Parts: sequence; structure tokens; C-alpha cells
Amino acid sequence: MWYISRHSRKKVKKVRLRWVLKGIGRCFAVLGVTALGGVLCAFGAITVVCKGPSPSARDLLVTTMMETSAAKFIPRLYFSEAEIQNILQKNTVVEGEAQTEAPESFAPPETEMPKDTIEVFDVTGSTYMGKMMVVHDPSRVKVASIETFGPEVRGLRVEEFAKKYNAVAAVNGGAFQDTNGVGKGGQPLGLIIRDGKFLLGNASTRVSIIAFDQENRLLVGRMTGQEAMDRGVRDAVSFGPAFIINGEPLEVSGSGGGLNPRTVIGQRADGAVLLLVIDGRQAHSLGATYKDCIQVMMDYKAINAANLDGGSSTIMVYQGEVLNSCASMYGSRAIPTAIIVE
Amino acid sequence: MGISEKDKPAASRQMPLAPGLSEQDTVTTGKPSKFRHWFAVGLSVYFVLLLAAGGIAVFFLWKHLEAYEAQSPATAVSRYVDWIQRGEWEAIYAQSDFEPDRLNTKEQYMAYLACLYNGERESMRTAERVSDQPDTKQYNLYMGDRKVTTLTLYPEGTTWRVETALTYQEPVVLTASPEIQLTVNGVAMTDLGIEPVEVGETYFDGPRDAALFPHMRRYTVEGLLNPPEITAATADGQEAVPVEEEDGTLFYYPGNPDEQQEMLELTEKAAKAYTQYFSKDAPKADILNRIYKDTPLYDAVKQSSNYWYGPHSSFSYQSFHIYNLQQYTPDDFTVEVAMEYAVRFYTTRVYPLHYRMRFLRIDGEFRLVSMVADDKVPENMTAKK
Repeated sequence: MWYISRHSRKKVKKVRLRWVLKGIGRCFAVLGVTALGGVLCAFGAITVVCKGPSPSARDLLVTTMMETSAAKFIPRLYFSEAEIQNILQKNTVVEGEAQTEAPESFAPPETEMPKDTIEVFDVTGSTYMGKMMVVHDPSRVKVASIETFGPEVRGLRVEEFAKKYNAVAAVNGGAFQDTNGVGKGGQPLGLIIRDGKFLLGNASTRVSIIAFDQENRLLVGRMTGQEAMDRGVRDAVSFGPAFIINGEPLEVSGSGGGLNPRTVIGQRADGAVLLLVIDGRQAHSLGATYKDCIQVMMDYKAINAANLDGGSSTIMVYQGEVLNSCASMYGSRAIPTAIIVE
Repeated sequence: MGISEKDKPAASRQMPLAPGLSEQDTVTTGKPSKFRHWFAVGLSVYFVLLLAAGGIAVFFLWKHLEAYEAQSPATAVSRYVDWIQRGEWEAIYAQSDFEPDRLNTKEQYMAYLACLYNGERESMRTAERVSDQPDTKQYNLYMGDRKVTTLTLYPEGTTWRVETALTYQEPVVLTASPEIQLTVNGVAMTDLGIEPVEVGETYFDGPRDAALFPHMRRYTVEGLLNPPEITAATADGQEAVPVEEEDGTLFYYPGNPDEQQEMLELTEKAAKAYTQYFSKDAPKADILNRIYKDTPLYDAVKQSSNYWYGPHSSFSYQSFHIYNLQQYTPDDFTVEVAMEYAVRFYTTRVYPLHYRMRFLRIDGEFRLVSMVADDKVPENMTAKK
């Protein structure tokens, strides 16, 4: 038995409330201290990577961060803009002015498969996982784009492109304006040609392009809009760098870009088109460097290949399903162009 | 925070405490509770421990990065490029798996590197390429925009061994008589174990029996890193004379001056006997005696006729030169003769004549075995000159 007066009961309630509040406060204090400790440790770890004993790790971190839209600030905490540019230049694909010299005709098919076959393979490496789609009929691979362009225009998600164009498969396409990583995806950059029509670009400015000509041959390298039209390009977007030109893999200096999600397009000698997506910035797959992508495309016998837009744009859709895991926690993003398979 | 003593009813002093209250809470001390301090102290300790754990993690990260960097191929290449830039060929040789041999010594290897990497070493840069060998990495090395070579990285334990791609010289082809001793990089050809090819037939003609040709040996030396240092001399130390040919270097036998004087005299007699025979100024036997019988030349002269040559009062040599005496071996010589042969009968008819004559020593005697005749007397050997 116990007894407390009414007055005292009020006091006890008050004391209990104080205790509860105090407990919550202390929990927050512990969490706060833990968070502070975590932040300090993370800061220490990034400092060690950026300023520590391994220039290779530093370069990998800087190139990885600088390819993102949101984490560019981290390298800038430690390095000047000139230092960052120097690191980026030392760790990239050495891209010259070479272009694809399209062969007269495709080589005989490597496998006895119906022309309309589409195969999808898993691709793995020490730091990445992804999907490789092999489209045996290159005439089915085309560029899809939104109808109008502009900073206020919203682009389409790759799934929406696939639905709109009634495509069997699709991956993300070329470059676009993405201010602070929150662009609407309606303002493409470089060059866009669709069904032989010049939708965007400059006839005299040389840009990295990924194109198909009227004979369905993949053309990669740097060329002007005029050169593209002269070569009978039917579909094209801008992005780069090129990875393989005329069977020759391009050289890579340093780490060859950071570990990031990647989308790559290539073509085999028999005309089959290779579409590669690599997941990144996730626990199951950190991402791939340019070097990794070149190796994968070489393994799949690409004779021409180039890098498409990557990062959180990287998406592969096949028969209405997304085959890979988008780097963005909000899912695929709106973009102005896609590569579709009809 | 506790309940003060004055708030507590007297009866309750003996009563059980309300749930959630402790003796410490209910009994007033008149001083602030120490619990707050304990929490603050505990939190501080926790924070310190957290920082310590973080510090340890960062320390291990540092160590891991050190190991990562040490094992990185980029580091191996960077160190190798540093050695090149500082000209530390010994260091490169020490880590290389290059195995020196008699032709390519350690010094030859280092000389090769020094020659290969000669230039603006400050402008060196590397770019990784897709390796054409399994389990290796390859980097192209540039000086400015010029590609110098390809470096191949082989895994060795936890690190990488870097090797410069060795580009060997084109095979060196040397031809000489057996009496000439050839050395390459100071090593005698016989010690190198290179089997020569007999090529006498390439250099000699005349006798139908090829066994009469003097020996000529051709050596092909492969796998040289640098242009070789070649010596060619007779046993008595006379240096042979090199001549660059389409398929290699030919060494002429240096010859003996006394013997060569006899060769010149022999040539003069044979050339004049041949010339005078056709103008009916010497018997056919004079020239036939100097030609080896089993040759097309002998047959041709034997079957020839000077019957139709007209009568004349005299003949003379307005000019007569013997030049280009060359010996492949001690048992042969080739020589050229240029002359202006003048025959007089009221007027003087001058014949410009040029012979290229080859003699072989057969049965201990030099015999004419082949001859090419034309009228191409070099301008500096005419009488007008």
C-alpha cells in the first residue's frame, strides 16, 4: 500500500513529465553526439582519401563525385577548381578526333539466331552489376525525343518513352541541361537527329555524337551536324566519350573516370547493337569506370562504342519492366531523349 | 529532479514510494542531483570513445590506402616513369625480368632504354590501353604527342612489375669469306652458335662446276636490342671492307698488296690478249690459255673467229686503266679494265673498251672464268682526259 496526497500526486505527475522530457532530451543528446561523431569520422575519412597517401583513391573519389549532380561540393571542400580540373583531365578517356569509318556491310552473324532476337545478359565486375542487351537487328534501334525543347519543358522518363513509342526496350539517351541536378529534363544539349530530321544542334560545331546511319551502322566520335547529315545519319544524340572506334579501344589515363552508373551503346561487326546499363551509387553496385565499360564492350566484341548519359539517368526498360536499379531514390528521371528498340 | 522534504506528507514517510520514484528522488538532500553530471560525463566518455573508434577507423583507412596505393598499377607505372625521367636504368634493370645473354648484355639493355627514352622526358605521360595479354595491364607511354612504347605490367605478389616492350633490331645479315673473322658485340660468330649459309653461288659465276667456287658464308643475327658493333678482320688483323648490299652487309677480303700487284699484271696480260686477238694482233691461244676450260667464256672465245678483221699497220693503247680490284676471298678477284684501243691503217680507228673480268684460283693458279665486255669507258679514263 502506498499513499500520496492529491497535492503530492500532482507533483509526482509533474516529476514524471520532467523525467520523460529529460529522457527524450538525453536520447537526442546521445543521437546528436553519435551523429556528430559520425560526421567527424566521415569528414576524417574523406580527408584521408583526399589528402592521404593514395593519389589513386583521391582521383577515383574526385572523378566519382564530380560526375554527380549533388556531391560536387565534396571535392570542392578540399581542392581548388584548377586542381579538380587537373585531376579530371588526368583521369579520363583520351579522345582524339577519330570517327567511325563505317564498313561497307556487316560481317556474317556470329550466332544463328532470328534477326528479331533480343537477348539480355547479366554483367558483373568487382565494383558493379548491370545488364547487357543485345539487339540483333540494328534497324530497330532508334532515337526517341520529346516534341519541344526548353528549360521549362518537362522531359519524359524512359518508361514513358517506351510506352509513347510502343518500344520493346529503351535506355536513356543523350546530354541535357541539368542545373544543380534538378533540371526538368526538357533542354537537350548538342545534337539530335531523328528519322533523318535535324531537331537540335549546330551544323558547324564539332560535338561527340552517337548516331545510326541509313545502313544502320553505329557512328561514334566527334563530328559537326553538317558532317553527320553528309554521312546520311538517320538518328543521333550527343554524348561521349567514345570508347571504341573502328575496333580500337580508346586509351584511358589514370582511373578513367569515377565509379558511377553508366549507360553505353555499341555495335558488333555483325551489326548487333549492344546496350549496356551499369548500376551505381548503391550498396549492390558502386558503379563502373570508363575503363570497366570499355572492357565489357570489348568482351562483347563491340567494334564501335560510346558512353551515353549516366548517373541517375541510367535506366533500361524491357517489355515494360525496368531491368536495373536506378541510382536515384525517387526512381527514373525525366530526360529529353532515349534510345529505343522498336 | 527530486521531491522536496516539505512537500512530503508525514504519513507518507513510512509508506511505499510511488512507481517510478526512487529513494534518491524522494529523499531530499537539499543539493542538486549528481545524476545529471553522470549523464554528462557518460555522454562525454561516449563521445570520446566514438572519436577514438573513428580515429582508429581513419588510421586503418590510412593504412589500407597506403597498401592500396602500393599495390596500384598506376603507382607502379608512376614509379617506373620516375626512374626513366631520372635516367635510373640500373633500377629499371634490377626490377626487370630481362635475361642478358652474350649479344644483349645488361649494358646493352640499359643503352637500349637510354636510346628509347631519349628526348623530353619531362613531357612523359601514360595512358592505359586494353591489354592484349591475359592477366596483364598495359600503358602506352608518350613524350608529348609521340608514342614511345608500351609498358606491360605483370602481377608479382601484391604489386606489379613493369616492363618496357622490347623492339628488336631487324635481323643483321653478314656475308664474308671463311677467312674473315666476324664478331658481333665483341662475340665471335663461331661462339654465338649461329649456323652460316653457304652463298658462294650468289657471288661467283663462270665454271660450270659450282664446287670450284670459293666459299662465302652468310650469317643472320637476330634478337639484337641495339645496332650491333661488328668487326671483320683476317687472322693477321687486316680489316675487311664492308659494303652495304640490299640484303645485308658484304665484307670484301682485304687482300695482300704484293699479291694484288700480281693480279693487276695478270689482268693486263689477259685483257690485252683478248683485245689483240680480235684485231688479229695476238693468237687465240694467248687468251685461251688464260681462261679456265670448263666455262661458257672459254667455249665462246674458242668458237669465235677474227677472220674478217681487216689488215692494219699497227695498234696501240691510247689509254689503259685497271681499277676496282675486289676480292671476296683469297681465291678470287674481280677487276675492271677500261681502254681505248687504236688500230691504224691509213686512218686510225679507236675502240673504247670496258671489261669486267673475274678470276678464280683453280689448282693453285688464277684463271679467267667470266667476262663482260662493253664500250662504256668511264669519262675520266679516256685519252682526252
